[in-house]
Amino acid sequence: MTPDQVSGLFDAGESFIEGTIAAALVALWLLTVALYLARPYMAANVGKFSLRLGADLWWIIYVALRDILLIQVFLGSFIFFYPDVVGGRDLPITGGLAAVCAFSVLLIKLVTKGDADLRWYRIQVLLLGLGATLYIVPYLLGVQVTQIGTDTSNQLAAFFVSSQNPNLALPLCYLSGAVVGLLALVAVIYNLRQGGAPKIGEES
Amino acid sequence: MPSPSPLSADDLATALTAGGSGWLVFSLAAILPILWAFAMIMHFARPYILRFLGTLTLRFGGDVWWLSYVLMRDALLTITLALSVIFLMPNLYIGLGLPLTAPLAAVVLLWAMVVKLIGDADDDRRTFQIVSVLLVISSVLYIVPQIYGLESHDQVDALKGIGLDWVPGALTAVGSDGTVNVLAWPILITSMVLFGLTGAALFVRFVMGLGRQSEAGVEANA
Repeated sequence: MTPDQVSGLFDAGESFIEGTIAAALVALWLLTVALYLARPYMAANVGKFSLRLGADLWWIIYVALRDILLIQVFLGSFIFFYPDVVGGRDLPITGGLAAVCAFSVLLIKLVTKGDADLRWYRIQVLLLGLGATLYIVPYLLGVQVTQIGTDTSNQLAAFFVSSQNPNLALPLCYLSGAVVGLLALVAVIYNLRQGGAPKIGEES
Repeated sequence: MPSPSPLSADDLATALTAGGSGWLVFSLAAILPILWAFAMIMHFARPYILRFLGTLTLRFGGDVWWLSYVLMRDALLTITLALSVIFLMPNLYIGLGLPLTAPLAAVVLLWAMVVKLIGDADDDRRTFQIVSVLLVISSVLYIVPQIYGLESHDQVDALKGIGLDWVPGALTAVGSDGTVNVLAWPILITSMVLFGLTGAALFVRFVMGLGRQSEAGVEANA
């Protein structure tokens, strides 16, 4: 091996990890949306338990799984805030905006009554649908057609793949980072004003 | 142009070891913003967690929910702190050119955990606010130079157009041209001293309080 090959070996390792995260995010987005849509089924099952303990555990597991998956979607999407990664790897061009959608849902969960507030719950579901679309469409029609070689696939890849369209991908990367930063600031201020506890009367 | 000569067995072993350790450290540095984000989400999700806790009908369910939350939140902070210790190692911080204020982030995170340890961030509103502010400062000290410094080195040409090509170099311990940032050594040494002093103070406080704690416990039980 030459020194360049050793360096190339580790670059390939990094590229493999980032590519795997991007692929796994498709499944994570689908699972998250699926768990949201499964809410009526989960709620219907709660009424079938003969023990309150079973019902509580069923509901806790559902809510915990759903929320943890949403957090994992956002955390996995963190690579879309790294300018070098966005500019250098084949990633879906609107992955950063999808991460903003996921983070917005987390913020809505924090500052509203969550599932109990139907209006905000609808907005959560709409944001999740938008986020999944912004991620999955450019992934399937862009990242996954780079090796097809036809004119149409090349045109799709030239628009939807971040490394092939850096003039749009990098501004979106900076914009997404800034929006997430602002939303995080709102979450921090909300917590500091509440002292880490929900408003009185919000528990039920 | 002649092709580069292959490495000898010893040189190959050295190159793979050095390359592997560099890859591991850079991977940890890249993963840490994600860990930070996870830890911050868990910390600031507290009102949501408490709101859901109020909807549970059994104390058992409430305990499981709260126990899982606290365990995950505190474990994430501990893992983040443990991994942040690599930024206090000169060979890694200066040698590899890691985010400039990463050592300070480790110190402030340690302070946040010390406040959690000696106060009650779950029941005392003031302590919660202090811990929150320290965590925000610490996360910003790490995430901003990691993303807009270390992860933006390839963007220098693009940033030149808007006059910000100096930003990636200014936010890392070693600039794009290979020179050590003038602030890197002062930040590293200050952080090492503060980290050591905080750890020592915590240790002394614990040792001094050993007898008093057990006496207070006996009196309380009597």
